[in-house]
Amino acid sequence: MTEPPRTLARLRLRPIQLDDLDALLAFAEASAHGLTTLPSNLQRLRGHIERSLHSFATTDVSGEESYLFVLEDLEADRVVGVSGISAQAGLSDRFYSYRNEFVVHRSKALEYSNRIHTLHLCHDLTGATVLTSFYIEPKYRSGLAPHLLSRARLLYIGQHPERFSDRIISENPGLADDSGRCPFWEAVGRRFFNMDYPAVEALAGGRSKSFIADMMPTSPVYVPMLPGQAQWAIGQLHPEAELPFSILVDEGFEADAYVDIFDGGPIVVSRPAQLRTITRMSIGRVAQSTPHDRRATASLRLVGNTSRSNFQAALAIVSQTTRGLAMPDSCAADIGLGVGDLICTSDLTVRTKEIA
Amino acid sequence: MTHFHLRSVPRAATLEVLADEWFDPGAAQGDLRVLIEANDGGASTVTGAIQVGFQIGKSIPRYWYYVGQVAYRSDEPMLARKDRVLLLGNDFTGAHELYGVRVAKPDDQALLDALLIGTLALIPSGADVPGQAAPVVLEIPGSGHAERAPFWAGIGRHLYPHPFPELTRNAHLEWESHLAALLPRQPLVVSLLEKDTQMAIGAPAEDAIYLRDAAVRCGFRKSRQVRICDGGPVFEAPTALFRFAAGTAIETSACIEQGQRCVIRTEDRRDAWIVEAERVTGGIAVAPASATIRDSLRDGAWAYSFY
Repeated sequence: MTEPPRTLARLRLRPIQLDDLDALLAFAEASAHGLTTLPSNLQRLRGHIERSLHSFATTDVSGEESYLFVLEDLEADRVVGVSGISAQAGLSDRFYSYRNEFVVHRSKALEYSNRIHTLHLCHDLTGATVLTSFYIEPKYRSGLAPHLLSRARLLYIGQHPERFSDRIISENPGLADDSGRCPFWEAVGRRFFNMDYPAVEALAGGRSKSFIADMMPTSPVYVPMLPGQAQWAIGQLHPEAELPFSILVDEGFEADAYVDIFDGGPIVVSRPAQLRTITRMSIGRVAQSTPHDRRATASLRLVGNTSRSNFQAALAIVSQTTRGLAMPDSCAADIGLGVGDLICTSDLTVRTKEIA
Repeated sequence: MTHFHLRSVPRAATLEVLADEWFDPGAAQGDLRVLIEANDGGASTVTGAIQVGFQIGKSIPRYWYYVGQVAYRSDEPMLARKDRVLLLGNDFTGAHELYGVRVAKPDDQALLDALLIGTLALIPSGADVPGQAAPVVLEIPGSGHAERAPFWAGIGRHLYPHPFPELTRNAHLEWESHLAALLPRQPLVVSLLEKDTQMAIGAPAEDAIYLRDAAVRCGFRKSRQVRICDGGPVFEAPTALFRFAAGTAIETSACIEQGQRCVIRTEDRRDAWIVEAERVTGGIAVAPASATIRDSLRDGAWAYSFY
């Protein structure tokens, strides 16, 4: 824990709009291989946005909703990042992952036992809510912006639990080089497809990729029998994924149980009620800010309005007062709030270097 | 014209000076030991040996990998493929096994063929009881040797990274049975194994190709099982190979040049002969050089079968 910063950049998270299409395309093109929920295709991205708009607007939820948020730098007046939520993974198909398991084989006569790491193709995570599409411009990767972009989604989930599953996951890109070649795919997936992973993605053409799993063995993969590089890649992160991954782990997600069937990247899993942002979440009313407020009770918080269809969030130094939650007027205004409005907040604890 | 005489050697026959030279001393008590002699009309000489284990896997569990297939299919997009899997099991439990094949000249095809076929004729409930015979199997060593075999290197070594001990047959079977406890019980997907390991599945060792070829010549069928340590193939003997008829007479005929192959065995199944012969009323006719067989059969019942 540390003292809250005196000033914060004016950043705002809000639902994506069709006007953000060009920015979204730029993010998709700049993304490393593995950020596969953002295709570099204008038409498909438009579809993503339209689906998101519908998801925010609808009151008739089916589980197929997909929400996209963008992060705006209000001073620069531009969009600098994107993140998303898919209400339920694999609802219309199946969501495949490899579950890490260990079996112990023992021969009493040979006085030898062996703990063997195996990967089991499973559908355990089908129906879970998925945090998706995290991308932030490199310039904004240090500081608090990534926290807002990632954690504010949880604030939304915490406010609307009926729209989401009681299990939340996030896929994290595994090891791959600049051309998209990843050791896990080379040792596992390629044996069944004989093509590069990007080529398989192209074959998928925007459809569910569960067909890839349909073509892969259902019996366990005995990890010790894989090439060393592939073994090492299991559960390893793509370097570009370290930032969002560390935020999720800090939130309380666990990364030991599942890996992605394509690149072996870790899939983090948690229950919403166990996530830091949600457990610390509270609803109050915006109070008039006074010079006395920035004292002992002031803390750095995620703040968001309580709108379902026009959720907006920011970071603010908030003081708990007898009048309510006091925060700078400009910040409240940035997320569409005024004095007396309901506000949702959650304490944000980050390391000192991330505030700098 | 050479004929071959196969004779079983009881374990009690310790005076059999050749036994130690030809047979694995670590074999089980009840196993059959068979010597083969080649005779071209002059003196007989022992030129090979084989052993038979009965009802294998019942006292010491035996394991093999079954090489199966799985098919994958996707409707959208339309894709389909097949893959091989290895499944650990005890498929040949209760079968009889030919093992310990030793011959003076591995390139002597006639000798090898006679050894395999003649031994099948000696096995009780062997290849002459259609539908009721226990399978008779012959394992062929796989490529590589012991823990350096590519098959082992790709599978077992990851699970038991130790050198193989030098053991006699029975001790080795017991050890292998213990080893199986460390091997995966779930199907192993062949595509996920190293290329060398994949290539070694069902591939015979260089110095065992002669035996594989002999098995194929004699009608043995390559089974879908392989050995668990080196991936060597397992062959199954042909069933209903013989249709024995009781013999009453052996004649000699100088005209037999290219007769049919015939196996003769005594009723007690202690001796068998592989010979070229022709059918005659009440029995068979053989070349004069094989007339000595008649002397051996004089005091007991015997049967013959062309094959």
